[in-house]
Parts: sequence; C-alpha cells; structure tokens
Amino acid sequence: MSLTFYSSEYYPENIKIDEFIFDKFKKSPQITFIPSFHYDSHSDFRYFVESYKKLGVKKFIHFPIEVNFSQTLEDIALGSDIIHLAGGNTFYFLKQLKRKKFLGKLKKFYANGGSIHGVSAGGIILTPSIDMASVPNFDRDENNVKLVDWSALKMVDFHFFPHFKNSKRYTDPLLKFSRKSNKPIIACCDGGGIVQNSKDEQKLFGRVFLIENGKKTRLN
Amino acid sequence: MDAAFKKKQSTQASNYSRFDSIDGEHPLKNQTDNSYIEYPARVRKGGKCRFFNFALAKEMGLIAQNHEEKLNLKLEKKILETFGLVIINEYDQLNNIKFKKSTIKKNKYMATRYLQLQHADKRGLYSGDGRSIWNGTTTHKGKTWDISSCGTGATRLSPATAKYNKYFQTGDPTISYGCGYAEVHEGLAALFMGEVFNKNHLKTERVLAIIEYDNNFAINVRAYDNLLRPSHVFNHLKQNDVTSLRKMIDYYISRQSANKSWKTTEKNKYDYFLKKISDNFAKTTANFEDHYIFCWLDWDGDNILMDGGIIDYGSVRQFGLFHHEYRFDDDDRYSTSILEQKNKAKYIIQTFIQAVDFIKKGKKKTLDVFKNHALLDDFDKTFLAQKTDNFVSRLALNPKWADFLIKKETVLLSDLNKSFSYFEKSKSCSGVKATNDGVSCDAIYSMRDLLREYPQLLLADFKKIKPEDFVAIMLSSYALEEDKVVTSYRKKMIGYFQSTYMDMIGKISKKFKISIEEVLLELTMRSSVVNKYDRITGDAITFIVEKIVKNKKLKPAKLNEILNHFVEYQNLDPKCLEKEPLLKEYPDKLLEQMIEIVGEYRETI
Repeated sequence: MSLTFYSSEYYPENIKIDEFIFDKFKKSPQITFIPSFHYDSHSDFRYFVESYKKLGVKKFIHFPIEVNFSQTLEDIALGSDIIHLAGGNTFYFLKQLKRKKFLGKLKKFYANGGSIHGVSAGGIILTPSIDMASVPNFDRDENNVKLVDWSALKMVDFHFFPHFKNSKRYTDPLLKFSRKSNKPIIACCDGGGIVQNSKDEQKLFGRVFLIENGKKTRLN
Repeated sequence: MDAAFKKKQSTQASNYSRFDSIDGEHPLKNQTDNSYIEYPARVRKGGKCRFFNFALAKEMGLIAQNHEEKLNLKLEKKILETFGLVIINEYDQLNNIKFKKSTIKKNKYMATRYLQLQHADKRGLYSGDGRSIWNGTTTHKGKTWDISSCGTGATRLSPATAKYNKYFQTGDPTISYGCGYAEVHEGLAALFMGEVFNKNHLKTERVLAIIEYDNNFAINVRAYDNLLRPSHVFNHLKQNDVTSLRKMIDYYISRQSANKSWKTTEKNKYDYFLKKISDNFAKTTANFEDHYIFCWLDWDGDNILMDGGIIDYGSVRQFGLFHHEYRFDDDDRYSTSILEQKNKAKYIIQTFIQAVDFIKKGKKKTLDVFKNHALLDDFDKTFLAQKTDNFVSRLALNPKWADFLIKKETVLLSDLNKSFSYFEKSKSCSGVKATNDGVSCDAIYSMRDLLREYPQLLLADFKKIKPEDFVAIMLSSYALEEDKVVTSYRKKMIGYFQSTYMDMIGKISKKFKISIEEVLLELTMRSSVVNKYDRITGDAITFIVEKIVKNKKLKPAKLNEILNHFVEYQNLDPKCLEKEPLLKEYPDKLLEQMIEIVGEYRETI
C-alpha cells in the first residue's frame, strides 16, 4: 500500500511515477477513479482510462462521489487496489467527500492495504488540512461552497503544494505560511510527485522542495 | 491583422439588415386565404431583451458568424423593433383605439388557423393562433426558417373568443389565457428543454429570443424550418375544403423540397408525402417513449409539427423514470399517456391518408375506410425498428456492435429487451394518485442507473449478482417497502436479464475479437454519458426557470453562456467523450445550483 501525490494530471513525466507504482503490483490492479466534480467527469474518466490502459490496467471504476450509487458498486469501488482522487476545486471536492461520509471509508481502505493516488486537489485532501488550496492569493481555489472545516484525511504529516513554480511569487507566500505552521510543506513542480509507503518511506520524482520554518530546500 | 480588415470584420459583425426582411410577409399568405387572419401590428413599448439565442441566430444567418455572443444597443434595438410587437386586434378596431402612426408596422402579420380539440366546433373554424403571430421567414444557406412569436396579443382564434363569443382587449386581466400575453417562464422553459432536446438530436422548435415586459410578461420568439402542424391541414379536411387542403399539402411539400429535407417528384409527391410523414411520426413516437417524453398527441394534430418536431412546451415533460401512467389534467379532460402517444400518432397518419385520398379522388371517404391501410403496417414496422435502434443506443453499444446485434442476434436482443421492459414498466403498489398537474402511478426502477452501473459491476467481476443487489441498483426513491420485495417472478426476470446481458457481452467479445473487459470498459464509458445520472425532467426545468425568472440581474450574454454549459452538460451523445471538456473551471454559482436541481428532481415527471 502507498500514497502517491501528483502535482498534475497527465504530465508526460508522470510516467516515471506510474511505472514505479505499477511495478509493485503482481497482477493488473483495479482502479477506482473519483473525480472532484461529476459535471463532465465522463470526459476526464476517458482520459484517465486512455492513460492507464497503457500501463496494462484493465479494470476501472468510475465513481463520481456526488452521485448516489448502489451499495454493491460502492463495495466494488472500495474493493479496488487503487483509489484515484482527481484534481479540481479542493473545497468542493472535500465538501462532497465529507457529505458522503467518505473520509472514514478512504482511511479504512488504506488501512486495509489499498493505495491512494491524489492529483493536485486530490493530493491536498490526503494531508492534515486543505490550507494549501488557499495559497497563494493569485493562484488559489475559490471556496464557493463556503467550507468552514478545512481538516482533511490526515494520512501524512505534511502539507502538499502542487503546481509549484520555483519563483519568488510562489515561494514567498509559502514561506510566510510555513513560519506559522507546525507542519512542513512539500511543494512539487508539475510532472513531479511523491510516493510514500506504509513505512513512511518517500520516493520523490521531478522537482520537489521542502518549505519549513521560513526556509526552502530542494529535496532531490 | 491590418486595420482595414479589422474594420471590415467589425462592420460585418454589426450588420443586422437580415432582420429587416422579417416583416410579416410569409409565403403561406400566397396559398389560401382561409388559412390565416391578418392583423396590423405596432411596436410594443417597454420591452427589453431577456435572452437572445446567438448560436441559432448564426445558424439562421441573422447575425455574422464572428458576432460576439453579447448584446449591443444596436442589436437589441433591432430585436425589439422586429419582434417586440402587439397586434391591433378586433377589440382595438371596434373601439376605435388610436395608436401612434410611427409605431405601426408597414405590413400585416398573420395568425394561422388550425384545428384544436378544445374548441367546441371541432372543425377549426374559429381556432388557431390565439396569442401568436408569424413574423415571417428568413433564408440562409438554402434553408428557409419560419419565425413566429407568442404573446403578441389576443386574436379571435383564441378559445376565449370562441367560448364567450366576444373580442378581448390584449392584456385583459379577467381572461388569463385569452388575454394574448405570454410569460417569461414559458419562454425560458421552452428554451431550456428545446435546446437540450435539439442537442440530443430530437426535432423541436427553438427559442430565438425572449423579450420581457413588466409583470413577467414576455414575447417568446420561436424558429424552425417549417412551423406547420398537422392541425394546419386537418381543419380544411374537417371543413371538406379540398382546394385549401391541397394547397396546404402542396405548400408543405414544396417547402420541404426547397429546404432539401425532401427529394420528390411532382408525379409521386403525395405518396412520398404520406410515407415521409408516417416514418417521421413512427420514429418520433418511438423516441418519445424511450426518452420518456410526454407530448400530448391527439386527433387534432396539434402540439406537434408535421415532421414530428415538438412545438408548444406548455404541457411537454421529460420524465426521469418511465411514469407511463401520467396524464396531464387539462381542466375538463385528461391527456393521453406516454404509451398512448403511438396510437394517437397512427390516427394522425390515418387522417393524412384520408386527406391525400380526398385530394386524389375529389371525394372524402370516412376515416374508418383507411384503418387497414398498408401504410399503417409500415408505421408499425418503422416504430419497432426505431425502438430497437433506441434500445441498443440505451445499452450504450457502439454503432458497430449495435449493427452486429441487430442483424445477427435478433433473438438475443429481443430477449434482453423483454426483461428490460418488465423492469422499466414496473409500477408502485401505491396505485394512481394526483400530481401537481395531473395523475400518475409511480414507476419504481431507474433503468438508466441499471445500465450505467451494471457494466461496471461485471467489469470488476464477470458473474451474476444477487437478486437483492440487482434490485438495489435500480430502485428509485418512489419505491415503497412493498415494491422492494423480490418476488419469485422478479427473481426469474433478474436472472433472465443478467444471463442475456452477459451473453451479449460474450458475443460481442467473440465477434470483434476483443476481451470481455474491453467490451465492458467501453460500455462503462459510453453508458456514463448515455445514461447520465442527472438528466433533466419537466420538474427540474420548472424549478430552474423559477430561479432564472427571479434573477433580474442576469444579463442575456450570461444567460446564453449558462445555457451553453447546461446544454453541453445534458449532451447524451457518447461522441462527446471524444471532445475536450467544455468547462475548464469549477462552474459558477447559478450553474451549480441548476445542476443540483436536476439531481434532486432526476426521478420525477
């Protein structure tokens, strides 16, 4: 079992992360795709399938969380080897996961040996809170759904910042945040990501930075 | 881009001269005098454009292809001058009411006569457009469009005048429907349903513009390539007026030919006409059944266009489930049910056969003479063929697989359809009960849910699921505890459905030499579109329209943008899987609320 954080979806460089993960499966895994918003999610699902079919995956479950499903399909979705939390608006996505009481189910899924992939918003949701969705001011998700409780899955002990650009514009707000936060930020540039196994061992891909106590360090 | 080119483009984009030819003139006026009444009309003050359909206007050639999807003052003025009209009716004339000469339009506008069952005379002598006028036509790229407007004043063809034998002043508050006005919500409901149906390849009138006046009154402008209804023909038949009957049918055929919708010769034109009309109505009623569209068809041939297109959204609904016992309550009568639409359509075809025979032989025979006409057998065959096509589409099969099954696996498809129909038609133990506007007996199963989820379940594990789990997939919120019981017969049908469905997957896999997983994966993807979780219903549109009517700040350009997103979201054509997602960003508040409403009312009527 593992947790994988992707900075962005469908980046060519993601193939390195995918190959690393999929090498560990002895037989072709079944993946459940959970889009952040069901509007138009069939198009995202098709892209997703096209990408992962190349890695030999044959079984996919499309599971938009807002939609009502039968218990049978939910059991099958939670019986997959991998659950893929897609990108999108983090506030909306987390609100829907909470509304459908899915956070506990995801934790249980992971505890039972499942792997979870989180892309951008999906990755932020794996962390203690979704604070990273609100920084920086010029490139943040809008909290149109007025989500008050930003606490998330708490499956790792760091914040995840996707789509990072190693510039002053992006770095300064994160440095400011890190000075007040007791948890470090791991920031990934697009094409990069982090795979963390059950022993909390991390494998880093692409350009990954640690931002902690007002300091930024390149991790790889 | 140089300055001269830019200037030329900008001039083209703001050229609205095509509107000027929409001036009340219409080729129907050259056919038969007793098909319409003419009224002088004047520009009605106080209107503002609530909505303008830019995409449709481009299709009709009214605005340039490069016109931005935004109203400007010049365009709004043109829309108001062209369509913001009110007739000077009999009441005005008898009471010698004076209007400013400068507001009176040069030409007269026609209100057409047609048969309507709610009129007592049953011959169409006093019925037709009670609150509409025909604005005219416009031709673009070889296609001529009819344009008419609803809410343009009380004509003497309204049921109110026929009933009370007097003329009404336009806007008379004592006589609601007969006052000649229409409302904004009517236009918006027709707009949203019409655009969604059009996107999904269903023939329908389309809303070109909505002009709003005080108190939510409106003029709703509609367009289609031929706005004639069967009832425009049947009145002449009922009146035994063979000359007008022939002229109307000839006119219809010539327009269809000119628009290149039909290809016929003078010699065989009436037989061709009958065959086309019969095929259209057979296909339309099959589509209505399978898309759960309730459109009140009756002997008068009203509420439907000659080619089976939808017109007058007043009582049109789309159901979320197959509520096949729903009937609209029209005060003194109940409508047909969705399953009765086919026989009503057949009756309309029988009437057309009678009409053509009358034209050919000059003598009118009774309708009963044609009850065994060969064309009615053709109608049944076309209807069944369309039902089969619809069934394979609903299963989300790709065209190659569908073609193979239709040609080579007829028995298998028919067996699968048998169990499918059993569940689709299952009704609640609660029996028939009143709804907001009629009566219904609730359907209990959502077949879209079944067809969307089932291939995914098989993809995970290719084996039959337990009957209780099978029922749980499709159980709707209408199901009572008694409805949830898996009786022995239901159990048998569940087994039957599962066996035939799995058999079908196996046959496709074998024939096309692809794995079972690949077949199921493609079905899963296609079915998520075809059998979308949240498809519109009549109720959903009602509540969406309520929200929009209240939102007075919503500008036409924004409404147009929201409509475009909404229609794309309701696109049930699996070809849309090949396109890039339309909406890159999270939707705005109003669109999100609209999507929520559709989800909430997805099972209703």
